[in-house]
Amino acid sequence: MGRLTILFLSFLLLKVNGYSQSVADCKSKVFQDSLVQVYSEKAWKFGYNHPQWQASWDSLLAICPDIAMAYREKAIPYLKNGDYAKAFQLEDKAVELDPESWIAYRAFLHCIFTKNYERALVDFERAEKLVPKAYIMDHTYSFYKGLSCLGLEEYDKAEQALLLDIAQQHEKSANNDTHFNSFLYLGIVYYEMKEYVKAEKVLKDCLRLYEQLPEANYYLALTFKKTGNAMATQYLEKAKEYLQLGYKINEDNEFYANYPKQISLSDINNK
Amino acid sequence: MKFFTILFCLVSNILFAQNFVLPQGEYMDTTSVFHSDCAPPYAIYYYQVQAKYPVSSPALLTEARAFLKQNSNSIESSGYITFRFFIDCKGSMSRVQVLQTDENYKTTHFPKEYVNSLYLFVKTLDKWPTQLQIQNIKNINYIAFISFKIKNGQVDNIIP
Repeated sequence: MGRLTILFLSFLLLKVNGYSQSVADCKSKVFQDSLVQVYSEKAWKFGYNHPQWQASWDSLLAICPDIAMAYREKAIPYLKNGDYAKAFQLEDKAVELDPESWIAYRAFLHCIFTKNYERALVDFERAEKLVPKAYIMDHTYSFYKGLSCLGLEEYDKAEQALLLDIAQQHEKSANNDTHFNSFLYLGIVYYEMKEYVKAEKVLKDCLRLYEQLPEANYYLALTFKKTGNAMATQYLEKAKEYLQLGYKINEDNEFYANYPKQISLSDINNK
Repeated sequence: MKFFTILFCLVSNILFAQNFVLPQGEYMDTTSVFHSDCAPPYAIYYYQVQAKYPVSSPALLTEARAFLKQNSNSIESSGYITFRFFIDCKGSMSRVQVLQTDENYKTTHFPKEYVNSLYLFVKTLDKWPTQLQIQNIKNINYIAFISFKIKNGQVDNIIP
């Protein structure tokens, strides 16, 4: 009798174990989001340079292999450490799975991290069609298109893109401040176009918002040099002083990569 | 001084140039050199200690182009050549990995002579931030990299 009871209980347990496993509903957005939340917390306990970062996201992908964000997260350490082959293989996968969410981000990486301005423009064009008038990393798509055209020395296109960027910032409220870096890059574009009056005006607008920005002081000094304005020396000195005090382009990703036309002390000392 | 550094690099490269393929990747130099005053070689990255090379990308680009004009043959390829290395607390570079991709970020190989020329240039960089601290660790060493974006055989940009 005792043996029969044990056998009966064993069958009961087997049944419970056999049928208790829930089925992953990888198509459900709610399920995907909850997975991302759980595995993101696991990954961030270690940070993205720890092997457990990759292991955490791989565990998620073992459950649902089509969650784009996991590929994007896996790419982070490779990107920040200069391994572009691995980084972009993963970024491409994220874009393939969910272009609406990730193509603008990849465009941003092309523009700021790898200075691949042609690819950045292609991706931003596609991003604009998929999600019009959106922002990525604090700026409009047009801002980065302006930077990319500046990098390619296509100044007319850069001017148009940066004017669009500024216009977009005022669409919701005319009273919005323009981002100082929009003014900075428009000023640099005008300087490169030899439009010195416009360059002076826009760079001064930039300095009204961020007086210590070394690049704005530096390019205003160069503009004044071209127009024979004696204030050139004063602004060059300001650029040097603020750089030495640690002021710089105020962008989150500046820690990892230099922004276009970003200066260092050697640029000032050589003038 | 810079002339002698370049001369030394040229001579030492002819004599000692290394190109090692290890399971972890391809290396120009597999030796690890850390001054005795430095902390152990933890995996600390340049961006954790604000240690980007303190010369702007355009200024470095000008220097690199001038260097290559004298020290390399022309090529026609495009893509990225990245050197990733340790900088010890005194500014010495060692354990230099090389990563190469085409313009679509697919792994490739550039002509070895050209890679060596860029490596020689990287070894002339002598302004790396030194004697840095993170949390309570003093005199840290850190991992940094320099990438060359090559467009039709010309150095088109320098990253970071």
